Amino acid sequence: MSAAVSMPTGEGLSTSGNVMGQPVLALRGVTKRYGGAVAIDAVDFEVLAGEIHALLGENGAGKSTLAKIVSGATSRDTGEMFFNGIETQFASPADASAAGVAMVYQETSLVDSMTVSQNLFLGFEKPFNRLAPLNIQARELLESHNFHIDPTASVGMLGAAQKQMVEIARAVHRSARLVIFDEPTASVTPEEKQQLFLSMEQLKKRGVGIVFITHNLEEALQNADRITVMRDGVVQATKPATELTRNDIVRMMVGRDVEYSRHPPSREPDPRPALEIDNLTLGNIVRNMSFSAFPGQIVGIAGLVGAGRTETAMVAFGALKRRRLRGGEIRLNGVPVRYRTPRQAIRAGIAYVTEDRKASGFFSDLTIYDNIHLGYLAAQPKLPVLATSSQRDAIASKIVERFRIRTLKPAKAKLVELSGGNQQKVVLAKSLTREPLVAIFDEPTRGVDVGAIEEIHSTIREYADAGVAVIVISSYLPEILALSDRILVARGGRVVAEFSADEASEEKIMFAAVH
Amino acid sequence: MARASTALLEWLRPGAVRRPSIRPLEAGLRPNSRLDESQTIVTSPELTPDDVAALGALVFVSSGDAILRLDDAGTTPLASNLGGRVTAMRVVGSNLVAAVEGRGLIQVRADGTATDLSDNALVLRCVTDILGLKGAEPSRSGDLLVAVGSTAVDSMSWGQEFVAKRRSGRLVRVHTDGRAELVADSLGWPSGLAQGTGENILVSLSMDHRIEERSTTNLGVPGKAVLENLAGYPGRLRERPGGGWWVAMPYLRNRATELLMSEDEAVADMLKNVVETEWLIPMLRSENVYRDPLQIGQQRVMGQLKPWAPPRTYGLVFRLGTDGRVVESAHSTPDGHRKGVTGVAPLNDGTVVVACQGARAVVSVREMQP
Repeated sequence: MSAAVSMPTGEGLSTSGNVMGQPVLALRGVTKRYGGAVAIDAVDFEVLAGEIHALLGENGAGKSTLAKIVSGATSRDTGEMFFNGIETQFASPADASAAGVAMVYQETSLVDSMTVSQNLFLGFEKPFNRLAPLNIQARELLESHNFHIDPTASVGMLGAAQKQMVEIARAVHRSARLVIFDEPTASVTPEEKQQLFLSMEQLKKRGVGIVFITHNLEEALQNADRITVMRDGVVQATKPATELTRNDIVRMMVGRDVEYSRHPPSREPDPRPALEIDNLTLGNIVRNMSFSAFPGQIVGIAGLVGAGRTETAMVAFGALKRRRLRGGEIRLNGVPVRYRTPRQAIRAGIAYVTEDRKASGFFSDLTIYDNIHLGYLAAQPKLPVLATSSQRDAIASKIVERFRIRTLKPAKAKLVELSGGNQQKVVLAKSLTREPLVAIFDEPTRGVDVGAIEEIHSTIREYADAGVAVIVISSYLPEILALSDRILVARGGRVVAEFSADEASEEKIMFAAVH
Repeated sequence: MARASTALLEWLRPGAVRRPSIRPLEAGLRPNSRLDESQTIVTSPELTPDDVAALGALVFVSSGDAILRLDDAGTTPLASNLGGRVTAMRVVGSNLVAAVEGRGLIQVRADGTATDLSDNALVLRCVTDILGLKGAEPSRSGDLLVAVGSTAVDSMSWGQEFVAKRRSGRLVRVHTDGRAELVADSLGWPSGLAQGTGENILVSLSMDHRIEERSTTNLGVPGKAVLENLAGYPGRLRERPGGGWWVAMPYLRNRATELLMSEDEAVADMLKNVVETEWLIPMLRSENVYRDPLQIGQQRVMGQLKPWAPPRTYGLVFRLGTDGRVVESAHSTPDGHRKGVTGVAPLNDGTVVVACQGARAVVSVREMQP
């Protein structure tokens, strides 16, 4: 460690130990290559103490690589990194964590089977640790941030935003000076988002430097002090948020203007529903949910997280079971069905594109072709005696083409190496190897860059126009408005309102979702 | 015991037990306030509009034992004191054919003179709708098809047939010489007839929540469903000039009533101890007395206080496309005041005249789509 860029003077020292207004982190000309591909190229990036600095860019723009370098998960090839004015190279994430760098991920790094307090102090346990004082300490820590979370609760039972709050509390407990939020709002409700931004504000007041990586441009514009936009590994601009508009950012991100354009249907829906959800009940989550999906029509289901939308889709898909007694009925083309496994549903013609692609959408260590081929085999009535690689390649290459999955070698590229947009396209391709009767897309563009969103939306519309009954579950209202022919709003486990595409607005949908 | 065994069977094999359910009003049937916002043509405390018929630009409405012509002044009697209540009315060819309770089928000319067509016992009571079979004109040739709701009660006593769970409805073919022929029976209150595609006709079966298509050559055989498991009890059907049909839905189903109807003892108790106007069944009109069931409980939905369950009265008329899709609908929701739609007549100019018997009003609704 050497060569300071700016030295703390002792004036304006914040509770985090940072000097307000001084750079906590500064990257100068940092470059990273993976093989021959340049991930980030001569990047200059700076985060001040007490600043929320949004980092925007499409998937594959280099945001994650930059975050990995800062957090010690990978090393830079060239360039310099200064942390609190001192040139630094973190050897490992533990090294970075010890120095005061914390990461808050979209999918948190907490242990679901442990309690909140155990997670908060994980790695800092004392010998003969007693739980009671630990819980009291955890409660004090959480209360100090105004986080109303029971420290004895199992983390697995918490919502996404609450998990992120625990992550934030843990970061602060470990005296973080720089917190990197990686897509923190992708899976939380609007109320939880507000809570999260309040937490970020509190961290900001403590003088912590905050890197806010997001795909949601509005959130960045509203909450960040400065915004840096990256494209193809290169920083396009760093400007105060007040000097930028959504269109400016999009233009810098994708090199062209992109609007959330409405995809109107090219046909009338069929008169008879393909899928009928009738009085479906599952615990306290889904309560008398009833709606229909018609071939040739996209039904958008909006609502807050916890409204029972995903659970309803999973019951229809056979991944969850409805309540045994008086649990309602699901009809496919008028015939009552009750699938015990997703495989039965897939073979009957129901496709479900999961919202949690990392956990249940694909096999991250398999190639694109292998993933698609597995999806294809699952949809076949009988498994082939012999599945050859040539058959696999023939099947998968067509599907790769159809879903416009762009990588250099799709036969060899592993899913873990792909951008979020391409990963999601593979999940779509894997689930839709066979033309379904009903296709359910659960948060189809979560964590996907702006350019890929447009392509995925076009693909969804193509399916509807081909006569598939399409259900889109999304918490992102512009997406619901752009895609849906009919919009349902779910709240408390049932559908509470319906709007036509013409009359719907974000305000109306949100009003129905919360009242 | 039966209930326990059903529950046990359901526990063991959840898919083996089917429980009746009411479909939500969605897609084309999505609730709105079009009926409440529609233009009133005529309303009066003395009016009990039942059926509507359009003959060119002239619109007729039946009320009590009279047929009235709608005009700028409101209504002008075309024919009155017909000897009984007019229970159905239809334009066949260039004349008006009406069913009069206790008298049978009559033909009413433009000057108001009435001629008896048939007084056969089969069509004397509870006629709910009339249809001139394709190319038919009673004064020259062709037959009439008549829907008879019940053989046990009169046409105003839908509720009695409903609680008795009887299926005594009929379809009767009336020949040009006045002879009547029973062509279908044991139907669940057939309440509407319309010319279907080709040689077929549409029949709405109120108690079955179903509109089906039957062949005119084999009317006794159950037909193919055009709409089934409807959220209400469908009523009269009328052909739309540009294709498709308009359907009146006088009553809407509700869970409380269906639960009650599954409990025979409770139904018997209600019949014994509660006056008919206060039965827990769908009605055309609510008198807003405090003993009215279901009208009092409320919950807050989307910031508005709403009845906690669909009340006994509702106003609904909808358009059915030739492909069987509900294209559009006009509603009077629980907090509205145009309830109990019994008659509908689409005009050539895209206007639909609606008889709201529950509201004692005739209103006009504009079609939303061509």
